[in-house]
Amino acid sequence: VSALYVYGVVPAAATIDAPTVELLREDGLAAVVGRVPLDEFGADVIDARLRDPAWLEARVRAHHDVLDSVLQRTHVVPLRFGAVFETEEHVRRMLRERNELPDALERVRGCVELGVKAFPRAEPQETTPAPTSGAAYLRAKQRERADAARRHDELCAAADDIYARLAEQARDARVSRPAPGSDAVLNSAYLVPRDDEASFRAAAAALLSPSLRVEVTGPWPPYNFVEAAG
Amino acid sequence: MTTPSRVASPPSNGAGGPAQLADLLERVLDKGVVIAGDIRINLLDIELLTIRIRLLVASADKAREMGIDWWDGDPFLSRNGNGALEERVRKLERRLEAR
Repeated sequence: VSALYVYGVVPAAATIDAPTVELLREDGLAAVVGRVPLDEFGADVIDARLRDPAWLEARVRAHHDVLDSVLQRTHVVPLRFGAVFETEEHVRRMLRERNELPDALERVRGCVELGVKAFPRAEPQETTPAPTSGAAYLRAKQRERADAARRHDELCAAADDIYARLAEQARDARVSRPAPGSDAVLNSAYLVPRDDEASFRAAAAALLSPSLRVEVTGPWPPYNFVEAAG
Repeated sequence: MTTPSRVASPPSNGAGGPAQLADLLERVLDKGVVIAGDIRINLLDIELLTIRIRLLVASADKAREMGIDWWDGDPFLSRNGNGALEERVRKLERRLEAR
Protein backbone atom coordinates (compact mmCIF):
# COMPACT_ATOMS: atom_id res chain seq x y z
CA VAL A 1 0.00 0.00 0.00
CA SER A 2 1.40 3.36 -0.93
CA ALA A 3 0.68 7.02 -0.43
CA LEU A 4 1.57 10.15 -2.34
CA TYR A 5 4.51 12.18 -1.18
CA VAL A 6 4.61 15.77 -2.38
CA TYR A 7 8.07 17.27 -2.80
CA GLY A 8 7.21 20.67 -4.11
CA VAL A 9 5.01 22.79 -6.31
CA VAL A 10 5.86 24.13 -9.77
CA PRO A 11 3.95 26.03 -12.47
CA ALA A 12 1.49 23.78 -14.34
CA ALA A 13 3.31 24.57 -17.58
CA ALA A 14 6.63 23.31 -16.24
CA THR A 15 8.33 20.12 -17.31
CA ILE A 16 10.60 18.09 -15.10
CA ASP A 17 13.25 15.49 -15.65
CA ALA A 18 13.25 13.31 -12.55
CA PRO A 19 12.76 9.58 -12.92
CA THR A 20 10.77 8.70 -9.81
CA VAL A 21 8.23 11.49 -9.73
CA GLU A 22 5.45 12.96 -11.82
CA LEU A 23 3.44 16.15 -12.00
CA LEU A 24 -0.13 16.36 -10.79
CA ARG A 25 -1.68 19.48 -12.30
CA GLU A 26 -4.49 21.56 -10.88
CA ASP A 27 -5.42 25.20 -11.27
CA GLY A 28 -2.24 26.53 -12.84
CA LEU A 29 -0.08 24.65 -10.35
CA ALA A 30 1.51 21.25 -10.42
CA ALA A 31 2.54 19.12 -7.47
CA VAL A 32 5.74 17.09 -7.82
CA VAL A 33 4.60 13.74 -6.43
CA GLY A 34 6.09 10.33 -5.91
CA ARG A 35 4.75 7.14 -4.36
CA VAL A 36 6.00 6.12 -0.94
CA PRO A 37 5.15 2.96 0.97
CA LEU A 38 2.77 3.39 3.89
CA ASP A 39 4.82 0.95 5.92
CA GLU A 40 7.39 3.75 6.04
CA PHE A 41 5.25 6.86 6.09
CA GLY A 42 2.02 5.62 7.67
CA ALA A 43 0.83 7.34 10.82
CA ASP A 44 1.43 4.23 12.91
CA VAL A 45 5.07 3.80 11.91
CA ILE A 46 6.33 7.28 11.10
CA ASP A 47 7.30 8.10 14.68
CA ALA A 48 9.63 5.14 14.88
CA ARG A 49 11.07 5.86 11.44
CA LEU A 50 11.81 9.44 12.35
CA ARG A 51 13.94 8.27 15.25
CA ASP A 52 16.06 6.22 12.91
CA PRO A 53 18.84 8.56 11.73
CA ALA A 54 19.84 6.33 8.82
CA TRP A 55 16.28 6.21 7.49
CA LEU A 56 15.82 9.91 7.98
CA GLU A 57 19.07 10.82 6.28
CA ALA A 58 18.26 8.65 3.27
CA ARG A 59 14.78 10.16 2.99
CA VAL A 60 16.01 13.70 3.42
CA ARG A 61 18.59 13.17 0.69
CA ALA A 62 15.94 11.65 -1.58
CA HIS A 63 13.67 14.64 -0.93
CA HIS A 64 16.42 17.04 -1.83
CA ASP A 65 17.62 15.08 -4.87
CA VAL A 66 14.16 15.24 -6.40
CA LEU A 67 13.89 18.99 -5.84
CA ASP A 68 17.42 19.48 -7.11
CA SER A 69 16.49 17.74 -10.38
CA VAL A 70 13.31 19.78 -10.62
CA LEU A 71 15.30 22.97 -10.10
CA GLN A 72 17.33 22.23 -13.23
CA ARG A 73 14.21 22.82 -15.33
CA THR A 74 12.00 25.25 -13.45
CA HIS A 75 11.60 27.32 -10.34
CA VAL A 76 9.94 25.46 -7.51
CA VAL A 77 8.27 25.96 -4.14
CA PRO A 78 9.80 23.28 -1.92
CA LEU A 79 7.57 21.62 0.65
CA ARG A 80 8.92 20.67 4.01
CA PHE A 81 9.77 17.02 4.52
CA GLY A 82 6.89 14.66 5.06
CA ALA A 83 3.86 15.94 3.15
CA VAL A 84 2.10 12.64 2.59
CA PHE A 85 -1.36 12.29 1.06
CA GLU A 86 -3.68 9.35 0.71
CA THR A 87 -5.03 10.04 -2.75
CA GLU A 88 -4.55 12.23 -5.79
CA GLU A 89 -7.73 14.05 -4.89
CA HIS A 90 -6.19 15.08 -1.56
CA VAL A 91 -3.19 16.48 -3.41
CA ARG A 92 -5.42 18.40 -5.81
CA ARG A 93 -7.41 19.79 -2.93
CA MET A 94 -4.20 20.98 -1.30
CA LEU A 95 -3.25 22.76 -4.54
CA ARG A 96 -6.68 24.40 -4.73
CA GLU A 97 -6.96 25.37 -1.10
CA ARG A 98 -3.49 26.55 -0.19
CA ASN A 99 -3.91 30.10 -1.44
CA GLU A 100 -0.36 31.14 -0.66
CA LEU A 101 1.14 28.72 -3.18
CA PRO A 102 0.70 30.86 -6.33
CA ASP A 103 2.21 33.85 -4.51
CA ALA A 104 5.10 31.79 -3.22
CA LEU A 105 5.77 30.49 -6.72
CA GLU A 106 5.69 34.02 -8.08
CA ARG A 107 8.14 35.25 -5.44
CA VAL A 108 10.73 32.64 -6.41
CA ARG A 109 10.17 32.85 -10.16
CA GLY A 110 13.44 32.34 -11.98
CA CYS A 111 15.36 32.22 -8.70
CA VAL A 112 17.55 29.87 -6.75
CA GLU A 113 18.74 30.02 -3.17
CA LEU A 114 22.37 30.45 -2.25
CA GLY A 115 23.59 29.75 1.27
CA VAL A 116 26.35 31.72 2.95
CA LYS A 117 28.00 30.78 6.20
CA ALA A 118 30.82 32.63 7.90
CA PHE A 119 33.32 31.01 10.24
CA PRO A 120 35.91 32.68 12.48
CA ARG A 121 39.40 32.47 11.09
CA ALA A 122 41.89 30.88 13.45
CA GLU A 123 43.36 33.48 15.75
CA PRO A 124 47.07 33.58 16.59
CA GLN A 125 47.53 32.17 20.07
CA GLU A 126 49.21 34.56 22.47
CA THR A 127 51.49 32.87 24.91
CA THR A 128 51.10 34.29 28.36
CA PRO A 129 53.54 33.54 31.16
CA ALA A 130 52.19 31.18 33.80
CA PRO A 131 50.62 33.16 36.65
CA THR A 132 52.78 33.47 39.70
CA SER A 133 50.03 34.01 42.24
CA GLY A 134 46.36 33.34 42.82
CA ALA A 135 45.53 36.99 42.18
CA ALA A 136 47.49 36.99 38.92
CA TYR A 137 45.69 33.84 37.88
CA LEU A 138 42.28 35.40 38.50
CA ARG A 139 43.28 38.58 36.66
CA ALA A 140 44.43 36.51 33.70
CA LYS A 141 41.18 34.55 33.70
CA GLN A 142 39.19 37.76 33.81
CA ARG A 143 41.17 39.23 30.93
CA GLU A 144 40.64 36.05 28.92
CA ARG A 145 36.90 36.24 29.39
CA ALA A 146 36.81 39.91 28.44
CA ASP A 147 38.90 39.24 25.34
CA ALA A 148 36.65 36.37 24.29
CA ALA A 149 33.53 38.52 24.73
CA ARG A 150 35.06 41.38 22.76
CA ARG A 151 36.15 39.03 19.99
CA HIS A 152 32.68 37.51 19.86
CA ASP A 153 31.13 40.97 19.50
CA GLU A 154 33.56 41.85 16.72
CA LEU A 155 32.83 38.61 14.88
CA CYS A 156 29.09 39.20 15.15
CA ALA A 157 29.47 42.74 13.83
CA ALA A 158 31.57 41.47 10.92
CA ALA A 159 28.95 38.79 10.21
CA ASP A 160 26.13 41.33 10.30
CA ASP A 161 28.06 43.46 7.85
CA ILE A 162 28.55 40.55 5.46
CA TYR A 163 24.85 39.76 5.65
CA ALA A 164 23.83 43.34 4.93
CA ARG A 165 26.20 43.63 1.97
CA LEU A 166 25.15 40.34 0.39
CA ALA A 167 21.46 41.08 0.97
CA GLU A 168 21.91 44.06 -1.33
CA GLN A 169 22.96 41.65 -4.08
CA ALA A 170 19.87 39.48 -3.65
CA ARG A 171 16.14 39.68 -4.17
CA ASP A 172 15.58 38.58 -0.58
CA ALA A 173 17.64 37.32 2.35
CA ARG A 174 17.21 35.35 5.58
CA VAL A 175 19.32 34.52 8.58
CA SER A 176 19.01 31.29 10.54
CA ARG A 177 20.52 29.98 13.70
CA PRO A 178 23.76 28.12 13.01
CA ALA A 179 23.38 24.40 13.63
CA PRO A 180 24.20 23.42 17.21
CA GLY A 181 27.84 22.42 17.37
CA SER A 182 28.77 24.55 14.37
CA ASP A 183 31.12 27.43 14.99
CA ALA A 184 29.54 29.50 12.23
CA VAL A 185 28.72 33.04 13.29
CA LEU A 186 26.53 33.59 10.25
CA ASN A 187 24.11 31.16 8.63
CA SER A 188 22.24 32.95 5.89
CA ALA A 189 20.34 32.37 2.67
CA TYR A 190 19.77 34.59 -0.36
CA LEU A 191 17.17 34.48 -3.08
CA VAL A 192 19.02 35.15 -6.31
CA PRO A 193 17.85 35.18 -9.94
CA ARG A 194 19.43 32.17 -11.63
CA ASP A 195 21.28 34.43 -14.05
CA ASP A 196 22.85 36.40 -11.21
CA GLU A 197 24.40 33.45 -9.42
CA ALA A 198 27.88 34.11 -10.76
CA SER A 199 27.85 37.78 -9.82
CA PHE A 200 26.54 36.94 -6.34
CA ARG A 201 29.36 34.45 -5.86
CA ALA A 202 31.83 37.04 -7.06
CA ALA A 203 30.46 39.52 -4.52
CA ALA A 204 30.80 36.93 -1.76
CA ALA A 205 34.35 36.13 -2.81
CA ALA A 206 35.21 39.83 -2.81
CA LEU A 207 34.20 40.35 0.81
CA LEU A 208 37.68 39.48 2.08
CA SER A 209 36.84 39.74 5.75
CA PRO A 210 40.00 39.65 7.87
CA SER A 211 38.22 37.85 10.72
CA LEU A 212 35.76 35.59 8.89
CA ARG A 213 35.98 32.88 6.29
CA VAL A 214 32.96 32.85 4.01
CA GLU A 215 31.48 29.71 2.50
CA VAL A 216 28.86 29.71 -0.27
CA THR A 217 26.59 26.71 -0.92
CA GLY A 218 23.99 26.04 -3.56
CA PRO A 219 22.21 26.59 -5.78
CA TRP A 220 19.42 25.25 -3.61
CA PRO A 221 15.71 25.13 -4.19
CA PRO A 222 14.48 28.22 -2.32
CA TYR A 223 13.69 26.40 0.94
CA ASN A 224 14.19 29.57 2.96
CA PHE A 225 11.89 31.79 0.90
CA VAL A 226 8.55 30.09 0.70
CA GLU A 227 7.08 30.34 4.18
CA ALA A 228 4.01 32.53 4.25
CA ALA A 229 4.75 35.95 5.68
CA GLY A 230 4.20 36.31 9.42
CA MET B 1 32.87 23.37 12.74
CA THR B 2 30.71 20.44 11.75
CA THR B 3 32.76 17.46 10.80
CA PRO B 4 33.01 16.96 7.06
CA SER B 5 33.75 13.28 7.68
CA ARG B 6 30.09 12.86 8.65
CA VAL B 7 29.05 13.68 5.14
CA ALA B 8 28.56 10.69 2.91
CA SER B 9 28.79 10.90 -0.86
CA PRO B 10 26.97 14.10 -1.56
CA PRO B 11 24.00 14.57 -3.81
CA SER B 12 24.55 16.94 -6.66
CA ASN B 13 24.37 20.47 -5.48
CA GLY B 14 25.41 22.48 -8.47
CA ALA B 15 28.68 24.27 -8.84
CA GLY B 16 28.81 25.13 -5.16
CA GLY B 17 30.13 21.73 -4.22
CA PRO B 18 28.75 18.97 -2.06
CA ALA B 19 25.62 19.49 -0.02
CA GLN B 20 26.57 18.86 3.56
CA LEU B 21 24.23 16.88 5.69
CA ALA B 22 23.67 19.65 8.20
CA ASP B 23 22.70 22.07 5.43
CA LEU B 24 20.35 19.49 3.96
CA LEU B 25 18.68 18.64 7.25
CA GLU B 26 18.20 22.26 8.14
CA ARG B 27 16.53 23.02 4.86
CA VAL B 28 14.52 19.89 4.21
CA LEU B 29 13.30 19.40 7.80
CA ASP B 30 12.99 22.93 9.02
CA LYS B 31 12.24 25.14 6.00
CA GLY B 32 9.95 24.85 3.05
CA VAL B 33 6.19 25.16 2.94
CA VAL B 34 4.50 23.44 5.82
CA ILE B 35 1.40 21.60 4.80
CA ALA B 36 0.23 20.65 8.26
CA GLY B 37 1.21 19.02 11.44
CA ASP B 38 4.10 19.36 13.76
CA ILE B 39 6.14 16.78 15.52
CA ARG B 40 9.36 16.98 17.38
CA ILE B 41 12.25 14.78 16.59
CA ASN B 42 15.52 14.06 18.23
CA LEU B 43 18.57 13.90 16.03
CA LEU B 44 21.42 13.58 18.46
CA ASP B 45 23.45 11.56 16.01
CA ILE B 46 23.26 13.95 13.14
CA GLU B 47 24.47 17.21 14.49
CA LEU B 48 21.26 19.13 14.75
CA LEU B 49 20.16 18.46 18.27
CA THR B 50 16.49 18.80 17.90
CA ILE B 51 14.43 19.89 15.00
CA ARG B 52 10.78 20.16 14.31
CA ILE B 53 9.31 18.44 11.34
CA ARG B 54 5.79 18.47 10.15
CA LEU B 55 3.78 15.70 8.67
CA LEU B 56 0.51 15.38 6.94
CA VAL B 57 -1.44 12.25 6.42
CA ALA B 58 -4.24 12.97 3.96
CA SER B 59 -5.44 16.09 5.74
CA ALA B 60 -5.40 17.51 9.19
CA ASP B 61 -9.03 16.56 9.74
CA LYS B 62 -8.46 13.06 8.51
CA ALA B 63 -5.45 12.71 10.74
CA ARG B 64 -7.43 13.87 13.75
CA GLU B 65 -10.01 11.23 12.94
CA MET B 66 -7.17 8.79 12.99
CA GLY B 67 -6.21 10.03 16.41
CA ILE B 68 -3.10 11.91 15.37
CA ASP B 69 -2.94 15.26 17.06
CA TRP B 70 0.72 16.01 17.25
CA TRP B 71 0.39 19.47 15.81
CA ASP B 72 -0.91 21.74 18.42
CA GLY B 73 1.05 24.86 19.25
CA ASP B 74 4.57 23.82 19.96
CA PRO B 75 6.34 25.95 22.52
CA PHE B 76 9.60 24.24 21.72
CA LEU B 77 11.27 27.08 19.93
CA SER B 78 10.53 29.67 22.55
CA ARG B 79 11.61 27.31 25.30
CA ASN B 80 14.95 26.30 23.90
CA GLY B 81 15.76 29.40 21.93
CA ASN B 82 19.12 31.03 22.27
CA GLY B 83 18.10 34.47 23.52
CA ALA B 84 21.08 36.49 22.35
CA LEU B 85 21.08 34.95 18.93
CA GLU B 86 17.33 35.34 18.50
CA GLU B 87 17.78 39.01 19.30
CA ARG B 88 20.52 39.33 16.70
CA VAL B 89 18.38 37.61 14.11
CA ARG B 90 15.52 39.99 14.85
CA LYS B 91 17.86 42.95 14.61
CA LEU B 92 19.14 41.78 11.24
CA GLU B 93 15.64 41.26 9.99
CA ARG B 94 14.64 44.77 11.01
CA ARG B 95 17.72 46.14 9.31
CA LEU B 96 16.84 44.27 6.15
CA GLU B 97 13.24 45.40 6.21
CA ALA B 98 14.30 49.00 6.67
CA ARG B 99 16.48 49.04 3.60
